[in-house]
Amino acid sequence: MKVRPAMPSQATKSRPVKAPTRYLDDTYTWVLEQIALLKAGRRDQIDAENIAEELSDLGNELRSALESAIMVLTMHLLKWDHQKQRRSRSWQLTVRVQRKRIALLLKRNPGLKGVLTEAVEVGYDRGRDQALIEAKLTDKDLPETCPYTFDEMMTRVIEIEEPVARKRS
Amino acid sequence: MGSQTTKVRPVKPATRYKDDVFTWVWEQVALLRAGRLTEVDALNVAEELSDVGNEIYFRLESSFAVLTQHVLQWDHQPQRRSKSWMFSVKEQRRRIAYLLKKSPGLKSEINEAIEGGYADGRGRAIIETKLAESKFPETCPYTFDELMTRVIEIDE
Repeated sequence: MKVRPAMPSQATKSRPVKAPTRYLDDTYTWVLEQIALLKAGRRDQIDAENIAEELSDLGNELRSALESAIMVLTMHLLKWDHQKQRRSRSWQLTVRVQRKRIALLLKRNPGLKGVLTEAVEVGYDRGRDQALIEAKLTDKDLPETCPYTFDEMMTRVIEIEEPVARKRS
Repeated sequence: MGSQTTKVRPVKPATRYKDDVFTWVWEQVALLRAGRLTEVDALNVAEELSDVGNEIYFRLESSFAVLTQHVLQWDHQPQRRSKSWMFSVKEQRRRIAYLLKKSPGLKSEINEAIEGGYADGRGRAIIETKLAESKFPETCPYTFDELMTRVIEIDE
């Protein structure tokens, strides 16, 4: 991804912002003005409500990222357990990738642990739907609530048995 | 509502951004909503807002990338003109118009966004058309108006 060096010069100016722009009228200019106020230490003049909204979006995104990773992970665990004949290296690697994503999210955001139970519920529900679609299973084949504990989800050994080398006769 | 009792309790010690973004976010949101602005972590909030601004800008730039790519292909491979290119042009124009409507301030960034987007669009057009690089000018040959309004339609 490209990195843009910095926001335009306006952002670092500390001159008074006359007639502040409203979020709804011009989001981009609003952002620049709010950054200028924050950097100038003029916190009393910021548009607190809309900044709170923008930050909430970030918080919700982090939570969604956790839910999505749990969704993909549980989907593959379900397939692993219910379609043993289709187990593959690709599933095994997907499990590993998602576990790493989850671990990293929790490391950077220990506070996410506080919403983990709910994230597992939501993520599992979506993962189960996906598994039903992809594995062509019926509703009664898969439990409605997550059958795995979080620990199990994160640590259970998921590995395909390597084909046994044929013995020479 | 709004009485002392509904206010958030003092956050102590406040969570640092780099220790826990998720918790930091909700603490900051609580402070902002409670009007306790002097306690707000101004620099990190400003950083987050920069990301919001940059995202808006990059959406504009990437729309110009797709738009210029297809206009270039349109001009350099008239025999391959298709409905798909035509719709793509229409779609990107719609997105650009929408972004500029939501953020009229972006107009001051248009030239930069066109140049940035064109660099990408040109690269993709070279790959897609398999024509020589020299066929495509290094700086965008189209004005903003041209990009947005020129008639791009296949003859039925």
